[in-house]
Amino acid sequence: MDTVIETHDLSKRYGNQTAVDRLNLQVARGEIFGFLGPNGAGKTTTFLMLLGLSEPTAGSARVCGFDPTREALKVKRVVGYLPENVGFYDDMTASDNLRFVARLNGIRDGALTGKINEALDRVGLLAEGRKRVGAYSRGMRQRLGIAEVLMKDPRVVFLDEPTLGLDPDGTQRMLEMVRGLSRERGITVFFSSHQLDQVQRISDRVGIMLQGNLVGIGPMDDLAKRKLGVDQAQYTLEEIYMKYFQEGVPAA
Amino acid sequence: MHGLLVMYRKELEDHFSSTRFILLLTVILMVSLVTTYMVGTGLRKELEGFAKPSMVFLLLFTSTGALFSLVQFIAFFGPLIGLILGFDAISRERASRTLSKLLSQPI
Repeated sequence: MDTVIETHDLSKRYGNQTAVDRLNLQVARGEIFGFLGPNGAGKTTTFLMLLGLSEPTAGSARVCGFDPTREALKVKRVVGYLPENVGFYDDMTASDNLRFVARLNGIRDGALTGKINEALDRVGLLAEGRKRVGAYSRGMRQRLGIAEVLMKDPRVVFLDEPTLGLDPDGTQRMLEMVRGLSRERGITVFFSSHQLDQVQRISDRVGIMLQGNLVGIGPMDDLAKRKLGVDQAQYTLEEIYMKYFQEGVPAA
Repeated sequence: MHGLLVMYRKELEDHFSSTRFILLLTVILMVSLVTTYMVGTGLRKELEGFAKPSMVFLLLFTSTGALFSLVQFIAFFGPLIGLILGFDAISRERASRTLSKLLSQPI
């Protein structure tokens, strides 16, 4: 297995509150990994630590072979991150926003316009590329976020709640897009979401976080067998999730 | 380094089109006009009694009356304004929720 993301006892404490407690997980190249858990379970903190934006209290992580704490720049060069509730420069057009991000990533001006149009086309915003982002709807903004992540040709993308606040149709399109990226370009996708039925449809493996602890990880079939005792296709991810949620964090 | 340059350019572009920048520029221009006027009147007072004044420019440095200096004014307020604008730039990124995005770029 070609491991892209790897953590060893990764922990983060704020004061005496533990946000992430000894997290151990591996994500393989090209995999779509669904990261689940209630609000405040430590998902965003994990994202930040994997990006080198937050320093782990203990433990270590590797992203594409780099240590995010020591080699944050190298990690940021190959990882695209879509924060929860991402913002844009509202008085600039969509393509100007993308151009700015591309330049920050050191992409030369010659190839820029083609690349911007390609990214906009990919997320279905080509026709609206000249509009100011301030006039965009929630779904369009979220799609523009994906386009922005794509500008740097990432090997891994971290998507923090990419479907938050989207309507059912928008959610569907967003996840189809994410799946397409992974399958066509071999990008590793590490994403969190609360739309369990959708996560079930596109994820290869899932991890479930509760109060900073990773209580379950693996392909959904395995989790279903272990937790519900049923075979393939007789479960929904929601059932597994609720089971984990009700059992709570096992005493260490 | 390249990334910083890109950010610098964007911030500059933003500033040149913002009302705040124009306002700041007007204030500094006005202060400079006022100081010029004050220095002018001060010099005229010094020159009273001279039949044929020479090397008037040097009086700027040797005049005994305290002349209000624009350079000193800028030296005092310049860094202050710089700090304020810097803070403002960061809080604006924060307010538009682009800060975390920027931080995840390889700059």
